[in-house]
Order: sequence, then structure tokens, then C-alpha cells
Amino acid sequence: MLFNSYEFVFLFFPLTLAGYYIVNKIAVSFQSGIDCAAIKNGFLLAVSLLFYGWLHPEYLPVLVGSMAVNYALFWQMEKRDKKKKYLYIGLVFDLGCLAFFKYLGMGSFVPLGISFYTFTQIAFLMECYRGNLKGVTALSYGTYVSFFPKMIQGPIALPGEMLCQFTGEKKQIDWERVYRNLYLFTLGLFKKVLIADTFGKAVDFGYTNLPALNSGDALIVMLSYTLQLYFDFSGYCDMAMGLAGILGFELPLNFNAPYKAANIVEFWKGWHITLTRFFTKYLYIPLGGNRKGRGRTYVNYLIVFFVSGVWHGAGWQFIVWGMLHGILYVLTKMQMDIKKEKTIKGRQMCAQTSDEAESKIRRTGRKIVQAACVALTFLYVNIAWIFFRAPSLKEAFELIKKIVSFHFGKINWNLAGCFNLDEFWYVIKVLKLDGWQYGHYLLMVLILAAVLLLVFFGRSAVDFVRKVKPNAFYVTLLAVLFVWSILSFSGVSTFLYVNF
Amino acid sequence: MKKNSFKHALSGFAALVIVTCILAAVLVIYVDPFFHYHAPLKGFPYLVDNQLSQNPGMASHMEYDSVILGSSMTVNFQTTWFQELMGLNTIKLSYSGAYPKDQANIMDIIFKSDNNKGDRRIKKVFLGVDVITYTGGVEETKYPIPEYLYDERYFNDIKYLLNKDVILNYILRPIADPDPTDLSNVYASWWTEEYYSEQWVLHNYASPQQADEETLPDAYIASTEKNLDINICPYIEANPETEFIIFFPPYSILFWNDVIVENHLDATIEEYRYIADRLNAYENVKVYFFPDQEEIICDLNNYADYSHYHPKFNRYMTECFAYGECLVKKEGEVSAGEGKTIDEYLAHMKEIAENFDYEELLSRRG
Repeated sequence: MLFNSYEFVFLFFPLTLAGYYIVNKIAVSFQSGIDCAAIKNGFLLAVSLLFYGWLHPEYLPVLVGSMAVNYALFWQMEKRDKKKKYLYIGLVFDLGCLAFFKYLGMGSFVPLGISFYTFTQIAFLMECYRGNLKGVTALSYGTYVSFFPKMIQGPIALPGEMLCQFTGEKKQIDWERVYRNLYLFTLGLFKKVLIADTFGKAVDFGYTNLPALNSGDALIVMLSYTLQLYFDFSGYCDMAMGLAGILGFELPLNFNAPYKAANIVEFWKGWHITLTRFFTKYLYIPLGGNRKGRGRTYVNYLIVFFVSGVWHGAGWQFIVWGMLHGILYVLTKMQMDIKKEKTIKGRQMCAQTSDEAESKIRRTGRKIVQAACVALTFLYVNIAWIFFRAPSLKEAFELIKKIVSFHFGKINWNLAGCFNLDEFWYVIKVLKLDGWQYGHYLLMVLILAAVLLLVFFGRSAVDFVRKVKPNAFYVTLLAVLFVWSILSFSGVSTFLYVNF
Repeated sequence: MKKNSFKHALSGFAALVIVTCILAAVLVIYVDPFFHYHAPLKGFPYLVDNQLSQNPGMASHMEYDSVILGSSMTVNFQTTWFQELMGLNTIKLSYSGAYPKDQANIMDIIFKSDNNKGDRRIKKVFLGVDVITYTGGVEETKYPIPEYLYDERYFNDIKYLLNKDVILNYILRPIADPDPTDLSNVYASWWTEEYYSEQWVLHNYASPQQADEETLPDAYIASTEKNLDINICPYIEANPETEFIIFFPPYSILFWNDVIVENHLDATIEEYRYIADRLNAYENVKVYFFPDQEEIICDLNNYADYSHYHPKFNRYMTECFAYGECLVKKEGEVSAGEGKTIDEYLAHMKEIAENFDYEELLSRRG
């Protein structure tokens, strides 16, 4: 089931919420008898499997089978001293399943969310191997892996931060928490349905009409994908956090203003944070981290980015994407290391120089440099995303070629048309802008500008809801965004009737 | 106090959402731009431009006694001609690129509508047959259809009731900028007169890849048979009081160039023969054959692309339906007067296709 579907918003989630509330009540009344956490977890596990199997029941056995095998291995690890064997069996099994379904040409049978639940389970096995987990019941394990807000697209929550929430005491209804998280869900929904999907139209148009694009068009397609991906993925994570929050759970933060980063290292502190964390904990550190000398550290970074590329998708373009990030990451780290050495040496020499001496001009200069760094990082990330989106390397290079050919001209009429949302047609009409020769391009420019401003200067949704007031204005805004998103779930399909 | 304000905010939100959603749904039900619940309101400037979404509603809630079905080969028929020449109150329910399954879907709705209930019967179904679409799968539709407008489940109607496109483009925009669709000419193609020229057609035409191996003459029969068995014949059999006018439209000579280059002339001819014979065997079917109209098909000035002819030939075909020209004689019929057998038509067709000077025509591409 998708979050942005009528059945989820009107049926599944309200019923889940009501059911969970009732189950909580029942669990409390049974408190002395059976384990009340088991009742609640049983309920969450059941609805999560329903959520997962709704659209594709055929994927359900794969998920359940994978959970069963992993839990059995955990069970063995708990009982025995030699844990390593079971860890390796688990890793081979999990990565083998992932490779089998995702990479080895299983055709269209790629179980939804397999990349995410595989990593979730690997994290579990690793923590268990490290001795950080004890006495996890099958029910709370199942709930942890399949918890519906996060199962399909993350965030990749670690067992340490989730399991305690599944065994904790009864959740009180807290209206403030519900309000703030409903707001977060709605903002995420809006980001996905209205912002990301609008850019998505432009991106799809661009990649299906590559030969027709000029440099300006190609730049817009590139930028649109950068924005689509961010709003889609971070919107999804906002929704996940919001839903979990309404139920009384806390999911880890996955995005923190990544495009405001002034270098690639900062970018990865704000982009898909839980994935970076996963790789750091379970790949980078086991590889030796930074403990085996500088050269080895850089190689470790490259390995992480290579694996990340492979994890993101089957195809060379993902590896290129991963390596583009990896190489710049290593170069940035090198530069940072050199700088750090210099400052340490500098401090030793003249420990007394103070910041007060820094003049206004220098501060302005520093700001300009900072802005330039942000812009350059953003540009680099944009170019890397081309490889992420393009159906293959060929198309990626074709788009880049279009950009660097510096063949500018009028922006493609149909590309601009992707931004002409029907809801603004009336505004254009009333303002009599439809007759103006640039009227057709107006919304494209406005939407791009507004969204870029939001990305570079706006607060994140998570920050916003932390402070949002429950007054008439914000309640109305919430309702407008919510209804606007819902009305956009299903369109009216039109097809270009070309042949016959 | 503070906790209460969040509770109030949430109730306010719920109330706003519920009220707006109900208002939106009521508006859609009242105007019903896809005619899913009722016949059109008098005086509302309905915009009809979406075959997939609006055909099912028109079929079930409009009043008519005959229908035009088929692909874009049928979009330029004007239903007023059918009134003028045959006294029929006709509705046009074309689907561009329609596959047989698309026809079956809409016939399901047509024959279940009030127009075929009680003592009312659908008098005539005019069905344009494009042979190439009968070689596909029996469950295949040209485009994914919006199921919620085709099935009888009320539950999924929410996709129609809470739908921005429906409200903005089919309710509010027609109110703000009324330009009601003339149903007689609905779905008509956008080509203006100047597009019907040899120069334009040749400019956009590309010959297909030459096929070396000839397709066997009976290659298409099995799938065609299946399509007729499942998607067409059951409706003919179940509605003996309805007359089915089946017609093969006249594609330009370039279509036949494709057929020859792709090396499946005999297979195509045999498919025509199979469909004609099979359907003509029903008493309530009449078959018309237009593909061999030499004066039409050999002059590309009659076309906007390799298959789409000028609307004046839709008029011509309507006249044929009224007066019986180009009719295919039924087997065993006494060969008196006009009309040829399908074998005669196809022999003529094959002769044209084989003897036409394609090279000379294509050399004019410039």
C-alpha cells in the first residue's frame, strides 16, 4: 500500500490507529495475565503485513521467510558461544537474497523494500553478534523489521532505537504529539504528491525526449530530478516519521538540509542519514575505519561508496554515481585532513591570535566563499544524480553532452508545460497572462525559484512542526495541504493518441 | 488548557477535511462530468474529450438507439449524418487505438444500459474493424483503463469523487470558460484541412524494416479467432435484435506498402477474409469493405498520415451504410444486383497492393 493512496489515508491508517488504541486498552486490562507488549506487537505486526501484502501479496512469503530465517539465526546466536558462524550464515543469506532478487535478473519480481528490510535485519544480526541484544521475542523482532511506516523506504532504524519502543509501557494519547505528527505527515504527503510528482513529470518528459532537448532544457531536467528525488524521499520519510509519531513511536531522522551542504562530507551528514550510519557502523568500521592509517581510511571510504552504489540499484550507472561521490568524498577528506594539520601546527606557533581581529570584510568574504561552496557542491550532486536517474550510462552521458554543448534556445514548450498545474490556470487566466508570450513559462520559473528558495533557505518539515502552533491559521493550512494532496492522488489519464 | 488547544486543533482539522471532501464529492456527483451516475444536466457546458473516462458514462446514461464503435478511424463520423440518412439517434464511443477488448468493455456497458432494457433495443452497432488489432491478446486494452469508471463497485468511486483533475478541468474550467462539446462531432481529429496533403504524409512516413521471411498466410487466424470468440461474437449472439454493421476502413496505400515490406500480405488478406466470413455468417451482421477503394487510398492528399483519411470519407461511408454500397455479399446469397463477395473484394485489394508503384510514390518524398 502507498501512503499517498485513498485506501491508506481513509481506511488503513484510521482503522490501524483506532485498532491500536483499543488494543492498548485491552492490553492494559490484561496486564497481570499475558504479556501486554505481545498483544500490541502482534497487532502492529499483523497490520504491517497487511500493509505490505495489500498490493503485492506475492512478495509476502519472501518477507516472512526472510524474517523467520534471521530470527532463527538470532535464536542460535543467543544460545551458543560461537556466534560468528551464525552471523556469517545470516550475512550470506540476507545478501544472497538481495542479490538474487534485485540483481540476478529475477525480472519484475523484486520484493518491495527488500533493500531496506535486508539492511534492517543485517543491523539486527550485527548488534546481536556484538552482544548488544538479549531476549528479543519473535513478535517484537517481527514488528521491528516490518513496522509499516518504515518498512518499504526506511529510515533504516537500528534495533537499539526501536526495540525498546516495542517493549515499552503503554502509550498515552497525547494530542500535541498527534497534531505535530499529523502535520509532519501532511507536509510529507504534500512534498511527495505535489512537489516531487510535478518535477517528476518534467524529468520523465526529459528522459523520454532526450534528442529534443537543448542545453537549457537539459539543465532543467537535471535540476528537476535533483529536486524530485529530495522531495520524494524526504517527503516519504516525513510521512513515515509522522505516522510512527501519531502511533507513539519515534523514527530516526533521515534528512537534514542536505543541499545546504558546503562540501560533500556535509552533504552525506544530511542525506539519507540512516544509510550512512548503517554503512559506518557495519562496513566502514569493520573494514578498519580510520584506525589503519590514512591511505587505508580513504580506501575504506571508496569501498563504502562503491557498495552504496551497488545497493542503490542494478546497473553501471549506480556504480558511477557511487564512485563520483566516493572520489569527491575522499578528496574533500584529504583536504580537510591537511587543513586540520595546518591549524594544529598554526595554533602551536601562535596560540594567541584571536578571532576578534577578523574584519568585517573577511567575514563577508568568508560568506561568499561559503555560498560558492554550497553552489558547487549542489552542482556536483546534481551531475551525480543524472547517473542515478538515467535508464543507463548512455542516456546519462547524452544528457550531460546536451548540457555542455552550450546550445541554448527557447525552453521546450512541453517541458515547461509539465509545470503548468491546473490549479494555477485560473490565476493565470484572471491576470490575463495566458496571452503573454512568456505566460506558458511563468509557472516553471516560479515553481523552480520557490522550491530552490525552500531548499536553500527554508526550514525542514521536522523543524517546522516542532514549533507549529495549533491556531486557526495553521489548522486551516494543514487542512488545505491535506485536502489538496488527497485530491491529487488520482488524475484523469490522458494519452496522446498518435497511432490509430 | 494547552493540551486542549491541540485537541481542538485536531477536531477543527477533521471538520474542515470532512466538510471539504463532502463538498467536493457532492459537486462531482451533481455535475457528474463523466456521466457516471446520471445523464448530463441541462445547460451545463460539458467538456467531452476523454474517451477512456467518459465513454463508459455516456454509454450507460445517455439516450441513443445506435452506436459507433472503433478506433480513431471512427472519430470523424458525425452522428447527425446517421440521423439524416438513417433516422438513427447515434452516439459515438470511439477509442483511439482500440483493441477488441476495449470494444468488449464498452459493449458490456452499452447492452446493459437503459437503451437496451424493457422494450427498447439498440438498433444498430457500427463497428470499425482494424485487422492489426485483432492479432493481439484477448485481454489487452490499448491503454490502462480507469477501472473505477467501468466496474459497478461504488467503493473505488472515490478516485472519481475526490479528484483534482475532474473538479478543475471538467467542472470549474467549463464554468469559467464554457465551450460545450458538440457530441455529434466529439473526439474529432485535430488535423485541419492543410494537413491532408501528400507532402505532409510523405514527410512523416518512414518505411518499416524489410522482412525477409514471409509470414505464413494463416499466421494471424488463431489470435483473430480467439479475439472474435471472446470479445466480439458473444455480443452479436446475445443481441439478435441489434444489427451489427461491421466495416473495414480504407487505409492509404502506404499501409499496404508496410504490409508488403514487412512481408505479410497473404496473412493480412487471410485475416480480412476470416473476419468477414466469420461475422457475415450471422444474420444480424452486415459487413462493408472499404480498403480497396482505389480512388481514395492511392491519393495521399486524402490522408493526414499513412492511415487516417479525410472526414469526407466518413461521410461517404455513412452514405454507403445507408444505401448498401460496398456491402459484402453473404455466402449463398443470390448474386443479383450490387455487392461483391469478400473473395472478390480481397482479390481486388491484393491486386492493388501488389501492383502499385510504391517506389515512384516514395521518390516524391524529396
